[in-house]
Amino acid sequence: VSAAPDLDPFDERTLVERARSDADAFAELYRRYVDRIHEFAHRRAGSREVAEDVTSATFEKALRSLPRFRWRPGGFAPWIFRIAANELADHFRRQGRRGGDRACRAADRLHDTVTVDDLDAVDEADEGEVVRAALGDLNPRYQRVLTLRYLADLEHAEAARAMGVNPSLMAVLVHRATAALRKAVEARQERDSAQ
Amino acid sequence: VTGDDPLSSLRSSRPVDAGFADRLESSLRIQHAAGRPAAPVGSPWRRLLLVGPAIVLVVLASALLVLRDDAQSSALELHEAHNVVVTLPDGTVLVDPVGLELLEGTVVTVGPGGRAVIDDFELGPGSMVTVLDGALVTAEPATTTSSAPSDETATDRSETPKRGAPVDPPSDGRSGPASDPDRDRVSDRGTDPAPPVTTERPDREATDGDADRAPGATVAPDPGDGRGDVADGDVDVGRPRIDDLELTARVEGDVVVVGWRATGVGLAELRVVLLRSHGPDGPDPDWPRSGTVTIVGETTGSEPGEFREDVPASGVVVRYRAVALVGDDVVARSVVRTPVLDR
Repeated sequence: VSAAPDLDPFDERTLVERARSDADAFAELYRRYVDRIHEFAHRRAGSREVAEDVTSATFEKALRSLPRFRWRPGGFAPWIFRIAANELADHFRRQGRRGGDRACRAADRLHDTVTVDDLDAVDEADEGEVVRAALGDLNPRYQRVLTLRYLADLEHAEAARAMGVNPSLMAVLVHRATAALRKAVEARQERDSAQ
Repeated sequence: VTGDDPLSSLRSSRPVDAGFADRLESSLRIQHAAGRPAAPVGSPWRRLLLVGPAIVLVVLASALLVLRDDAQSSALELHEAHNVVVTLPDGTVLVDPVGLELLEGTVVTVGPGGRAVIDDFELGPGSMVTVLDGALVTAEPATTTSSAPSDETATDRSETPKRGAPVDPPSDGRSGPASDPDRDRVSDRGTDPAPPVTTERPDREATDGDADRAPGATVAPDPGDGRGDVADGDVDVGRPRIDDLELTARVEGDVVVVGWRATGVGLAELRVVLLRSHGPDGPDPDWPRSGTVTIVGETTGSEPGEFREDVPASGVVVRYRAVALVGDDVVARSVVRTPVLDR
C-alpha cells in the first residue's frame, strides 16, 4: 500500500468525480488515503484493532456519502479526516459507556514482564497513555480540534476545513483545547500520584 | 503538553497492515459495485460484538412482523371444496376454488351433496355462509320484523370509544347480574316499547335449565360492553360518519332483549348487522371465526333494531356483536354478552 498525498488538486477532483461511479477510481482514492487515516486513528487510539476498525468505518462511510460530497477548497482530505475524527469520537463515546479499554490495557500491563532496559520505553508509553486518556476527558469538539490539528498531519487551514470552521476560529479552538488538555493531564497526574 | 504540539507523545504509530488494507479495498470494491455495504473488515470478534445486538433486534422485529401479519391478515381459506360456489364481493362467481382466501363479503354456498372446509370448519350441503368481520357467518331468517318509533329510555346508550379501543376483549366470565344502575333501572322498569325492528330467534338455543334461570336478571356486558369500536380511519369524506353504535342487552323475564342503533351523519348507506355467537361457560374465547356465528338482525341507516330470544341455558354464554357496514367495509362494531346466570 502506498500513499500519495501530494496530489494535483485538479487530478484529485477528477478522481473523486470518477469515484462516484467507478470502483477502480474509488480504490485509487482509498489507496491514497488509507495510510494517513490508519496512522491518524492509531495515534489517537493507540491500538491496531481500533485503528483498523476506524479506518474501515471511515472508508465505508465515505463510500456511502460520496454522492453527497461537494468539492471545496482543500479538496478531499479535510472531508475524509472529518469522517475519521467523527468515527474516533463515536468509538471513544461507546468505549466510555462500556468502561473503556484502558482498564483492559492496565490489566494486561500487570502481566507484562518489564525489564530494566525497557523502562524508558515504558515511561514513554505511560506518558502517551496519560495524554491519550486525558484527551478522552475533553469534550468531543476539543478532541476533534486537537487530533485533526496534530495527529492527522493536516495543515492548519486543512484542519480548519475539516472542522468546518474558519482558520481564525480554529486557532482559538486549538488554544482553548490545548489549555483544557493541559489541565486534564495535570488532573490525571495528581490522581495517579495520590494513589 | 506543549503549545507547539500538545500531542507530540502520540506521534508514533504503526504502519497499516498490508493484509488488512488489501481486504478492506476488496470489501470496498464489492460495496461500490453492489451499491451497498459488504461484510465489514476488521477484527471479526469485535465486529460480531458490534453487529450482534443489531442482528438479534432485526430477527426479533421480523418475527414480530410475521406474527402481527398472521394476526391481522390471517384470512379464512377454503381448504376443501366440492360442489361449492364462492361469490366474491365484486360479484365474481367461482366454483370449487380450493386455496382461495375468503375476504370480507365473500359468500360461500355448498350445493347438494357438496362439502366445504374453511379453516377448521366444515360446511355441509345447503350451507351458505358470509365472511363478515373476519368470521364465517350463517344467515338466519328473522321471524318478525316491524317498525315503530324508538324509545330512547329503553336502551342504554353505549359510548363510542376512541380509535384503538378494544373491540372484543375477553370477559372475566363472572356470573350474576350486572351492577350498572342504569341497566338495572331499565330492567326494573320492565319497559319495552316496541322498537322499530324486532327479530326473534325462532328456536331456543337450549331448554335445559330454563326453569332455573333468574327472572329479571340483567345482561352482564363484556368489559367493553356497548363500547362501539368506530373505525374512524375508515370513514372517508362522502361516507357515513358513525358517532355511536349503541348495543344493549337486558333480560326481561325469560327473554334476552338486544337493542342496537347507529347514530351519526350520512347514514343512508349504512347497514348494521347483529351477529350472535354462543359458547360454553368459562373464560370467554375470542369471537369465533366460524361455527356458531349467525346473523340474527339487520337494519339500515339510523334505524334502531331489536332482537329477542330466550335466556340461554345454564352454562351457555351468548355474545352479540353489532357490526356497521358500508358495502363490505366494517366501520364500527360493538359487543355485549349474556351472563352466566346463577341458577
